Amino acid sequence: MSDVDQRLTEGAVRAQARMRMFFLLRKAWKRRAAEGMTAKELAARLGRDKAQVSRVLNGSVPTITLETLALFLDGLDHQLIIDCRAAEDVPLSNSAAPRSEPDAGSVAHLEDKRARSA
Amino acid sequence: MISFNPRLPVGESQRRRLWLHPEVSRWVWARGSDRLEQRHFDDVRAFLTSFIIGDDFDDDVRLKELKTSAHGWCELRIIFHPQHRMIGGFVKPGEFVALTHGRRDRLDKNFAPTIDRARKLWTSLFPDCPPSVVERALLLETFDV
Repeated sequence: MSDVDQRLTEGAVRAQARMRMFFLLRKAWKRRAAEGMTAKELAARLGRDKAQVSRVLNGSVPTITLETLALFLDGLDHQLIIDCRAAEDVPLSNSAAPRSEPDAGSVAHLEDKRARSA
Repeated sequence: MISFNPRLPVGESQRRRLWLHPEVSRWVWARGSDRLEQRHFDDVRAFLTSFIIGDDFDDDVRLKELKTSAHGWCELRIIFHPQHRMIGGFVKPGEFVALTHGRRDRLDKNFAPTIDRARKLWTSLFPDCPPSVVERALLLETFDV
């Protein structure tokens, strides 16, 4: 398990959860929108005002709750799966660890170049 | 420029880079003076964390190219109220440079000056390297390892 000082703050954990919910909603909405669904149709399914639905879909709201996500996913014919896994069970593949050395074209490289030429 | 390097959620790794102008970085890492503000800044950092761990930003809700005379200028559109915009460009695929920012509801009158300031900062920082101009999906690829 990770050290205590490596943990996110409570506020960060809560914000990550809100963000995760919003990104899940966008994922489902993008799929249905690509298939031709409109916000008006979704609003009709949910029995809500179209403007209100659009605000949620665009993140133009103070926050998103699990209940709102569940409601919208139901309207979008998506299954909400709540699951968890231990950190040690998360696959390490596809991880792109940040590098310490800048590559040609990166900001750090360009700043070095500018400093040298100054 | 300051690299945005938050603690990442369990199991996540960095797939994009985000560089912040010092002024933008100070704002991003602000604590907030009350609970509402603290929550807002937590949301800002969570949104930007989603960017660097490679979440989907390929739509105008989260990343939009600005309609300016020059191409390659984008805004990261931080969701949830009070919405903010961070103006900048991609120095290369997977590496976004945010130079200015502003609250959406206050940018209506100040949007052009905010973009103009970002352009001037970019030119002074990277005189020979304009923002990348390729398809958004390509800009959002994992940074070059």
